[in-house]
Amino acid sequence: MKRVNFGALLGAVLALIATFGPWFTGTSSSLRLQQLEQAAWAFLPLLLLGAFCVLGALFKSRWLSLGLVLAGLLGALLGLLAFKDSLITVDATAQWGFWLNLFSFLLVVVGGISKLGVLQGMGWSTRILRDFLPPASIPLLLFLSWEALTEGLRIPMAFFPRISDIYQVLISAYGVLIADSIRTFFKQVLIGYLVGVTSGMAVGLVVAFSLFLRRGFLPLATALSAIPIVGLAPVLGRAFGVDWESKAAVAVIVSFFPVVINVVQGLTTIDPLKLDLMHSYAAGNRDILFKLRLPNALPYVFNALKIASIIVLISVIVSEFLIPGPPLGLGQRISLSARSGRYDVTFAAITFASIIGILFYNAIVLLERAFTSWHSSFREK
Amino acid sequence: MKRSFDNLFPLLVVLAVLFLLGYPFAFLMGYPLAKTNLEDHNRWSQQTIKAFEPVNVSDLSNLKFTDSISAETGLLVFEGTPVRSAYTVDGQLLTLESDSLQPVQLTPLSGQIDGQNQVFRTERPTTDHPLYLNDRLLEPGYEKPPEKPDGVRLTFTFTDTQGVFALHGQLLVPGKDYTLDGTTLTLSQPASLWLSLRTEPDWARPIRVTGDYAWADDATLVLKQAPPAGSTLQLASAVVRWAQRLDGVVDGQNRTFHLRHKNLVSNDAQRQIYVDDHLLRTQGRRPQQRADGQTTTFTFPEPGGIITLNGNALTAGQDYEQNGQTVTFKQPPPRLGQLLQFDYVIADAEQSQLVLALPPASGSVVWANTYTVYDKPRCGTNVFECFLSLPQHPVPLPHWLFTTAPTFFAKHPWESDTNVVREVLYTARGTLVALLAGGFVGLLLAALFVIIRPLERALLPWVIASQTVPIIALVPMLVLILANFGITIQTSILPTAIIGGYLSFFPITVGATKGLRSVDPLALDLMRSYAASKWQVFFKVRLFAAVPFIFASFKVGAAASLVGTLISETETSNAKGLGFAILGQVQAGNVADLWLLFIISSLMGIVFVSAVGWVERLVAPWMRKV
Repeated sequence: MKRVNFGALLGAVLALIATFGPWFTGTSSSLRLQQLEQAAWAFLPLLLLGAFCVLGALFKSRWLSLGLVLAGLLGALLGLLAFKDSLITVDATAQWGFWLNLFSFLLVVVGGISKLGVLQGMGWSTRILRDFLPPASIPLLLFLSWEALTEGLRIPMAFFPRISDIYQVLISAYGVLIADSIRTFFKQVLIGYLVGVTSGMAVGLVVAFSLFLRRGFLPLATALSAIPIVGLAPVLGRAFGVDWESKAAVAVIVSFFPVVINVVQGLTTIDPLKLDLMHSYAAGNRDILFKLRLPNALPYVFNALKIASIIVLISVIVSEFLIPGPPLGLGQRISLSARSGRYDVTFAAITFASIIGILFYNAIVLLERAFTSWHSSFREK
Repeated sequence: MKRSFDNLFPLLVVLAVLFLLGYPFAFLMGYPLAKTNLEDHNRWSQQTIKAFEPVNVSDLSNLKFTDSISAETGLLVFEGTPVRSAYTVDGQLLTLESDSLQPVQLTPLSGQIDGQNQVFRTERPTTDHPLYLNDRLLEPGYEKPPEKPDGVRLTFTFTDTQGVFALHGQLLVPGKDYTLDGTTLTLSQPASLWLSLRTEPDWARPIRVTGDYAWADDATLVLKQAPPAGSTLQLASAVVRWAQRLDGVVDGQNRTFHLRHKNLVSNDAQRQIYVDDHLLRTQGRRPQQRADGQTTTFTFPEPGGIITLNGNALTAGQDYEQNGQTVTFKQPPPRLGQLLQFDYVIADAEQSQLVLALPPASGSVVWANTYTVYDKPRCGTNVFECFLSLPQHPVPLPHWLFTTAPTFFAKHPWESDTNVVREVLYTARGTLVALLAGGFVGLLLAALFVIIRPLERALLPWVIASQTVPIIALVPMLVLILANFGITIQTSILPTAIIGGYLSFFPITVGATKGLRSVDPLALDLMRSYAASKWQVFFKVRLFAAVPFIFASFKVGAAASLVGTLISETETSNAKGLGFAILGQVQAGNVADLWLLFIISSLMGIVFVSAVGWVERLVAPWMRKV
């Protein structure tokens, strides 16, 4: 008990106060006695949680900090549920008790995270608590606040969806969304990405070994990266038809330039000392290429692959907006549902798109780790 | 001097090569479309093949036709009946051997024939009947302008201005009714004033008479030249025609016949195929029952015929049994399947092969009065011609950029919102606001990350993940939601700032965090030995160490916020900005203008990136590289 966690302590005290929230939530005059009781029961666990949080804030222990995070999330969730129940028949926005409850528990979570984040050591429990738990709790925090805000302000679904609405769509229509994702990813993103990346590497190789082309082509390639390439989508739609080919073509162009630029940079920015060393070994051009230049270019190439993997997905989705073809694919789903006011479907589709994006990005990161594990950015931690 | 030449020369050469490569690239991009236009029969021009009339009608025993005729491939018909009486054919001449046939019925047209009058009227609509002046067959023909008449339009363009113009049953008088300027005809009053209520809207467009005459409405014809006084102008209400025989053996068994021209238009309602004087109907007939997936027995209006299911001919005996009008299927046709009974079906449209329901009796003749075929590609004879004649090129030929640039920049005056320079300025303003917004958020996050280390652990993975969320996907929604608050892109820069800022904050966050971290450890040690506080270290050491990183990431962010701004402009319904102009040109199919806009936007990107460089030199002059 060296230092008291003041943030968490404040949150905990507030949480204890907010335990009496049901008496202030809703318009109290319109609450009937029965609902009041029901709400009070739901808030009883909050009382216990608040008490635990006070304890957790007073002691510096990793397990109590973990408890703080979990208790805070649980408390915010319970408060939300209680609010939903107590106001189920009353069409009123939340009163200050509800907001205090939410705020105090979020404060508790932040306090817990800040204690976990400064843990020292390399043990597995430390690593989970320090490196994995804080980022994992952020979306939960975000979702809770999102749900609480939309619920508390009684925002209509046609205006902005709730997390629970999106969840409903995700579990009821996941088949359609998976089919959309497969079409968007495998038919458009992946094919376009592979073609664009391989052709980019080939062109990059050629450009890198000619000073003339480097001087002439690189400034252009950098300038071209400022063109909103998705603007090309309608043009390509006219050339390749409105089906998946045109969107794959967008993916090709989008992934081409970053790869060219990075391949050239990787092949040319070489430590002169290493070149000298190779020369002192009397290494031929071939050895220099395969043993020095190509390994040296690999980190750059993977950097380009990572950048391209993100923008390819976005570009394909936008080009699906701009080339309205058959109503299949995530982009079409997003644009059609947004236009008809079904924002819950929109967000469900976006959820799938981000999952694909994260998986795709991390797949490339895994590849990078496998191929360039010797690089300094992986060694130092 | 030498240095700048060394740098500039390769750039110019590569630009020139790219310019030249633009030609094959434009061709490559346009190739699929051109190939479709060349090969897809549906995009070919159609030609209607008709039985044709004799050019002279005065000498009935010696009818002359425009083309040479042969009794092998054709036959003489009169009003849907083959002429039975004997005739001989020799070249273009046909001699009737009996006088019993009255092969022509002519009606003189009402109207003064005084060498001046060019307009004649008929009692009833007879637009497809041949017209004879004295005994010479006249050639119909007119040119229609591409403009649609809307009742207000005054100007119409023609390919040529020779000949006379007519509009809705009237000959137009030059000077009084219209004036000509080049190939543009300007009416003195809108076409709607010529219109009466009963007419078809298409008659409201002026036409140019290119043949001997043209129908100016369905009962008025206008001649190119007034017939001389004393001549007779006669409309043939019935006339012998030379019709085409169908290829195929007529032996009482064969049911397969070929039309002489290939590539038959299959959904042609005008097609008229005869067996002797019996017209085979093109339309199919429905059974009394509907296919519901269970019924197997159907009653058709007539016995016989070819039964088709969803357009596919079925085989009697194999698929169904026929007993008079009743047809019993082996398997019930699927629900909502379309059953039809035909006199004949097209077995192969490309080869123009027909299969008749009943084999024509031996000695009868199968002939075609009218049918339509896909004649030839509209666009040209080869892919290259088709490519050149594409109405909308996916990629323009490079030199078009130069030819269209003057008109493009002069198209809209400075006062108009669609003026290019004003559009560029509007987009530049949006980009600047987006960059500042993204920069503010990015720097704030980076500072927080560096000062509160746990926050970085918790948030950085999600900052990276945020870039995989296609925020651009949210643009339509964002615009709608902001519009609910009364914020539209016309009145506020907010949507642009949000979208452009979202795209640009990521590189700035990452770059600035890295910059704030990459402090010389010696400098940190020094600060510690001065007992400097955390804040002093931040403002006096970290911030300065981060300057090059911050500006490098602002350069990336500038390009990103330009893209975001352009995209947010395309997704809204305002009429401002480069993004909207791009969308407008896309919809108008104006490809050269579109590519000019791309070039402008990439130049804008270069300007923005180098502007960040200039600011860097101003703000941090000590960083100037030697």
